[in-house]
Amino acid sequence: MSSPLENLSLNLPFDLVLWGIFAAVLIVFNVFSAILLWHWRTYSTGRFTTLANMLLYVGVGVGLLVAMAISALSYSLA
Amino acid sequence: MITTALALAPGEEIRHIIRRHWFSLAVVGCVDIGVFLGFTAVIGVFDTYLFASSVLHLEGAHAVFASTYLVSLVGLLLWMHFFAVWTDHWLDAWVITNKRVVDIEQRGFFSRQVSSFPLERIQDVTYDTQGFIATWLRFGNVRIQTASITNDFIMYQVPDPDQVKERVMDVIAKRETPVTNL
Repeated sequence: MSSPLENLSLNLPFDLVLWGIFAAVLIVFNVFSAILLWHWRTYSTGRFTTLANMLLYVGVGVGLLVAMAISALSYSLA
Repeated sequence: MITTALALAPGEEIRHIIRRHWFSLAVVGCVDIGVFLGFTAVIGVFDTYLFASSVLHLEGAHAVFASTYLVSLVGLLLWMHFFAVWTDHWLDAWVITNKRVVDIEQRGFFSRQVSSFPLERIQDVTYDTQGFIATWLRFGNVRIQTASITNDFIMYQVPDPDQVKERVMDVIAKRETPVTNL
């Protein structure tokens, strides 16, 4: 006799959960990045506004998002 | 830009922009890296037990992809946290102009306090460096005593506090004295 939690996990579409979390994180990252970039552009008093720093933040963030997407896709296809 | 961040009066010129030492930012960065490596190690060592447990029932390739997904997710959240702290660190500044000292304090994303006082009100400038790390990395607090009933103005953890003190004193010495009619 399996527990309700086990039944839930067995029937849970785990790949859909991964994609759901990914979508939520994607929205949060976009909003968060927009706020960050706006602050840098508006209030920065120095060279932090340079393109290199913005590209560093966005580049690494997008890289991690891509890694999440590839993982979720691989999970779905496996 | 500085013109947006700080409304300068006519004839006012920026002499120095001072920020906190990178040490406090490095501490946050090291903590974030430590959390990330610790989480990755836990996932790497215990993924079999975590994902193949009686609750999740993930095995083989599924466990590997779920592990990669989780590590990427935690990495992204920590990266966002670090850059939020970096932004806060960078947008905090003390600006010394030829007329006043301005304290720009960013508190989170949507709270910002800008306060200033004229150079004429400065009575004394002192600095202190406390502890091995502060002495080694050359940062400390600069205290500006003003002719005010409120607390002294303190720049916390600024790099080379002795030079900051000298710069402030130099700006005070070179400031334009107001023209008075006798």
